[in-house]
Amino acid sequence: MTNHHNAQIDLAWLTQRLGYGMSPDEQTNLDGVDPTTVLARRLDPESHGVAIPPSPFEGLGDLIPPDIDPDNFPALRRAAYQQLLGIWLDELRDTSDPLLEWMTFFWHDHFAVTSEVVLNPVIMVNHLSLLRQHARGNFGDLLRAVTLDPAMLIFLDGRSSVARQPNENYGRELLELYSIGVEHYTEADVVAAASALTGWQIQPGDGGTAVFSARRHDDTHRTLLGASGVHDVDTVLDAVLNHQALPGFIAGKLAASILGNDFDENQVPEFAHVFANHNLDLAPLISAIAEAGLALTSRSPLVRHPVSWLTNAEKTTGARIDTRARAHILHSMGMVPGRPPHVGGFPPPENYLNASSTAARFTSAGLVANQAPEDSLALAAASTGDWQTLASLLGRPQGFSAASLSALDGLKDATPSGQQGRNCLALSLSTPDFLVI
Amino acid sequence: MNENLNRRRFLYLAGGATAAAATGAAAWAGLLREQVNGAPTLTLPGLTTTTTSMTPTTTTSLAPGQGPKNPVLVIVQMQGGNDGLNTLVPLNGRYQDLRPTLALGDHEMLDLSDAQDFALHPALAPLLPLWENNLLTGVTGIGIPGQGRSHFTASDSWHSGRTSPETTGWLGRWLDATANGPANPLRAVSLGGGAPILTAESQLSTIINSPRNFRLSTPPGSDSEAIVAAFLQTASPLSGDPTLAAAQMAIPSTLEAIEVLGVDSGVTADEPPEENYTSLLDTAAGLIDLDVGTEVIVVSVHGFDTHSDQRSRQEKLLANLAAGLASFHQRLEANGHADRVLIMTTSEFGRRVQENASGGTDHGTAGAQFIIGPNQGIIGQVDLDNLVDGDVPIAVDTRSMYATALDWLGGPTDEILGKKYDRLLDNLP
Repeated sequence: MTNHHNAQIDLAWLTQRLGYGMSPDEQTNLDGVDPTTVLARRLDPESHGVAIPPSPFEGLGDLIPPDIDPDNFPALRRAAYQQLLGIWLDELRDTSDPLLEWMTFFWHDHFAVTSEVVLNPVIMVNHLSLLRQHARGNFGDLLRAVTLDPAMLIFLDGRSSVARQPNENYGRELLELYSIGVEHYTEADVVAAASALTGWQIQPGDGGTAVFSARRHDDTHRTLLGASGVHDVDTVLDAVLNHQALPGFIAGKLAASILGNDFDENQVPEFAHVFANHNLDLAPLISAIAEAGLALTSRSPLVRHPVSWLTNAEKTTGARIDTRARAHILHSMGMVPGRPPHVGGFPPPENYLNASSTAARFTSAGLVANQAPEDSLALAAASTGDWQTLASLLGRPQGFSAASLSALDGLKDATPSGQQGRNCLALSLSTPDFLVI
Repeated sequence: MNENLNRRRFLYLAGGATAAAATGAAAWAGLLREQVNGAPTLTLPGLTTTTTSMTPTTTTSLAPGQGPKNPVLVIVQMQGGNDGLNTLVPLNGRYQDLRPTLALGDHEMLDLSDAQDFALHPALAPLLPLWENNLLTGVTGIGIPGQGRSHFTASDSWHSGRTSPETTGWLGRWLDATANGPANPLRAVSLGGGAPILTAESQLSTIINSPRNFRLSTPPGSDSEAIVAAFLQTASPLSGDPTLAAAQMAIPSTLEAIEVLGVDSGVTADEPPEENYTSLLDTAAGLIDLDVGTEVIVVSVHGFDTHSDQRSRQEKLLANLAAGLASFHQRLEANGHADRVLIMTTSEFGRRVQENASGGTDHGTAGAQFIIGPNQGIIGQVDLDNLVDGDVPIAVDTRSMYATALDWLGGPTDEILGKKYDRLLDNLP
């Protein structure tokens, strides 16, 4: 195997594990560029002359005028969320800053705030913008911002947690899911965190802002995670952010997400060390994990989730699917951005091997192939039966598996020549090969 | 520290990507290749397509109506942790003291004839006829000792039937232990979401998020038969990599499930894509009608994590639950299946006795469940005078309910649960 071929494989890995693949143009532009150089550029685009794109979500809030008729609100809300989904999926596909979008989605999965609870699209948009703002910044800043974010105050009931009866929902998940993990706190810690976080409400207007009410707050000094004198949001977050388990918990989760089946628990202390030494800055951590992945000489595949599947399918074939159809595809596959099914986020990607997702993937592949433009390079490769080129365009420079190759050959032979291209492109997008990265 | 994360990853993969299952799936691929045919039309947003429904050309062991009239277990999962205290209400003064705003008034609750100590939430009225016909058992104070209040640790215990780390679900272990002959992916079916209780080492089960969307479509004018056949062909030979092999194995089992369920779906394109729990139970009933060897069906109902506004939310949730169960049972009776179907509800935990300030309740431990089958009564107790850390103490081990379910399926019960637990019903046929 040539070095060039290995570099292509490394690049395909990097751009799909920390992004949503490469369009044919991006493949051309990045051909021959060292993957570690690509990584460095994506971690810090501004230093490499690439401006960070503005938040795609800005202006979405205008869909809900301040003087709306409440009776029309559900319809407006649905329209706003449909538009949000379209803008978001477009940005995942077309962004000039793929790492930023990938990390934003990682935090969306981590905090798992769902529009089904938040309801107000303006508050949801502000939440996503907040995740994006800190996506590869500092984890401490992110966690502090999320804690008082109106979307989170709604999602985990912080806004109705008062001194007399603290609501434990956020206090528990802050410890269990967002920072240190279930084995590092006690029920007393949950109570301490919940009590100290009481008193926050949402003041309406411009999507809502968090306001503090001393009257509703329990200012009793308590011990949280061994830290004494914890009584308000700052002292809670100090206790959490200084906890020795935090760097490993976050680093381990991010590493598992990027490295997939190649993730090894034994690497966690090393990643945690990097993370802690950089004051919980995320870029050095992402860099260390990605470099560990690039250093592997052979890698195990990882199932890609439906959002990754659809984004890659559009990106690599040039197909552009309208938002309504994309919403339908993602709904059938079982994963809709903005609507994680559970406080723990989207299920692990293996979940999408289920029968429903498999059937939806097959149907969606036909839909995408049907929408590929006439000048699509992938369509051209599929039409001529150039399976190696097709595989490379789809992000698999190592080629299709023997099973998929024989299926593609068989379908090509069984199809009238005018239809071979789209049929074989559809099949290539349905293959197990295209489902893993 | 990421052991939990990884364990969770694994638990979600109901079906297990192991070499043992691969053999069965490969055999299937061969069987199915001969059974693929083309057919009618439906509309997807923005695109007219041809639906491929596959009509079996030969009779297989899975052909509808040919299966044995075996016992069936239907599990209804109340996701999020249902509040047992307001479901099966203990008729004792402390209840109303402990729940100043959430307690149901005496006039609101539904009396259960012959049961002096408990009443039903009014939204559960559709279950009363089952009670009157000696077909409803309530189980209260039920939980797994040591399960914890976290959604995840509690869910892990609930799914595995163990409090120590375990990668298989309790029903997954039953599927493995009783596997016999060619694998049948429709032996265990989960509707409306994943079912970690079905995670097995070697046996595949079928997870269908949305039965209405569960079909294959190909673009107009394309040769659907050839494309589906080629899709199936991508599943063999199996890759040596377990992840890729799992993605391959999903294909023949999906086609098999569509082939069977497609016969009964009767879906029109005009129906809304949103699925609800009642329509999932309709699919479950249809699956039992088909008689294709389905032994376990898991249906998920979501939304029971009532940290706030519990009064109105739980009322809607329970009304929906009860209406669905009642109509499901009526359909089973009308079609002559009621005697061989046992229905059980489950939930990861009950909720705290004390209300929070949001008009809701936080995570607790013991809860309440229902069994619909040949028995009437209330099992267990709610001791509000001896709360454990603010929770209803556990009076019935959840594994006793599992043992009852496994007995219904024919066991081997104690082997699967790793211990002999008391049975809840002793007059099972």
